[in-house]
Amino acid sequence: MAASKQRPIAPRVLGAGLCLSLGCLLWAYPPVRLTRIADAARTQSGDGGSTPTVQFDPSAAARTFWDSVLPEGCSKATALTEILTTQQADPALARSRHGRKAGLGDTYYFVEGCGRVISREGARARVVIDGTTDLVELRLGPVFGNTVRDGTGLLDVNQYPGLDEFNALSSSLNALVEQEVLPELRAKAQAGGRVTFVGCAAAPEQVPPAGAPLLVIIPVRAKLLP
Amino acid sequence: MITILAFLGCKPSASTQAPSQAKAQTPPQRVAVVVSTLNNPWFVVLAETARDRARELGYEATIFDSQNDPTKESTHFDNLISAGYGAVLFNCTDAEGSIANVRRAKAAGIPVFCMDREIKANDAATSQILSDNYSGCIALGQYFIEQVGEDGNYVELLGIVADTNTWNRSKGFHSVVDRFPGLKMVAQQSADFDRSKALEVLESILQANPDIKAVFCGNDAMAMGAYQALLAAGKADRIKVFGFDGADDVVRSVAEGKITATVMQFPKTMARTAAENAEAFFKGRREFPQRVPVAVELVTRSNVGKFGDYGRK
Repeated sequence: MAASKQRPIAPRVLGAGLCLSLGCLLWAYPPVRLTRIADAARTQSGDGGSTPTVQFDPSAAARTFWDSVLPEGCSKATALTEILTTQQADPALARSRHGRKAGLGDTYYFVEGCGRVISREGARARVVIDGTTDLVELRLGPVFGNTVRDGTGLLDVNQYPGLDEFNALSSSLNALVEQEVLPELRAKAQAGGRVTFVGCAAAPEQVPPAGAPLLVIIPVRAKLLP
Repeated sequence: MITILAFLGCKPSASTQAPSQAKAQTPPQRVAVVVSTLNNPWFVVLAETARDRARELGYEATIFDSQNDPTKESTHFDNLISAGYGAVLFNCTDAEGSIANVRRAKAAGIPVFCMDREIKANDAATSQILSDNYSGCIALGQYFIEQVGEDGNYVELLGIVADTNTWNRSKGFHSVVDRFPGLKMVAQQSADFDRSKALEVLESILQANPDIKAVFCGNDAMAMGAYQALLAAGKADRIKVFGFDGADDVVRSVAEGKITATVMQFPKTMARTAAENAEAFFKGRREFPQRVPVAVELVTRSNVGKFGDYGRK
């Protein structure tokens, strides 16, 4: 029996097949990948590109907190009488029992109280708390620092993009206190008048000297009483 | 068929193994302490405390000095990843540029605990233990007003511009001082947190601005350099210097009435917390807060007796 004569594979068919294979390979594993600059920046900055970059607006964030979170949060402020009683006996116990802090940061109190203004000197109003002889000071002047932001215990640093943004929030909250709480107090809080308030104060490590206010409070809500 | 069944039934018996093979010795986990620089005593304390605490907890620990060079830092990460380190206690050189290094470690299954300096990503580091520089400089700014007054010219020496701490401190300071229009910043320049550079920069600034009342420096190394420049110019008794860190030499200087104030950071607290977090990770904990701010304290002549050795006495 004569050997069958095989027909040679057409070179063009072979070439086409090779090109097709190469094309598939390059499509699956491209040697060069084009990426938009914005996408690359998002990837570099930690967002894998799955969410759009949103600029943090500290004023808007502060306003949202002020209007939507703080009102209910004020109902959770601790009665000043309770803190002051403990603080005068054992400041460390008062801090551990009633203090609020961000991370390993400073300790603050979130307090509510009512009392009589006994003196007013510039940006300071000294108040004796009803039913006690305990003296506190309401700070009516420029607001600095993180007392308001960290004192309520209602804001978590890890809910914000970074420390820059968390600090900007602090400034915006301080501005809201200056714009919305302090003007009326500065204008009308006088010796003899009564005031009810909710506020934040740095928790002292030691009992203050005799005659000094037991706490210096930045009010976040305040109302002068008739 | 019988042969195949016989082989299938064969398996090594534990009793036939040597005792050393029966229970393989697990080497201790290794912890890498990657620090931005060892050319500043504050960072030496941070790094050595982290290393020592890791060793106390039973781990091998090695310090890697990035010499303030992001390229060197990157090489350290290459090496520690390939060498199989179990965790990194990290003090970055660049808040943005260091993110890629942390991501590489994370991809290799190595947790990274940042100390003192923040990286600007929320999903790279396992946790970041950070000084609350902003509020520290607010306290410093308020003291600055008390000491310098509400009028006059002053200079600011900034730290490394790629470090978020530089801007947290500057912003905290300015959030107070800028409320007083009589106070005028006549120069603001970076001296890279470096003592020698601060001396040179301030000497140059004083040529153009001889009548200043104070210098605010973003760290204590620069405060010492600034003080040296003022000494050389014969103005150290008239121009107040403010620093930040709580370095031993500046705390002594505050006690002596030379440098006016500084802010004590707590490098040992941050370092120990980072090392203890690494141990918790090795033991199975996976939930950590992304950022943990650590309080700082103003150090002045009136309270300097409470401080020393990079912390409270």
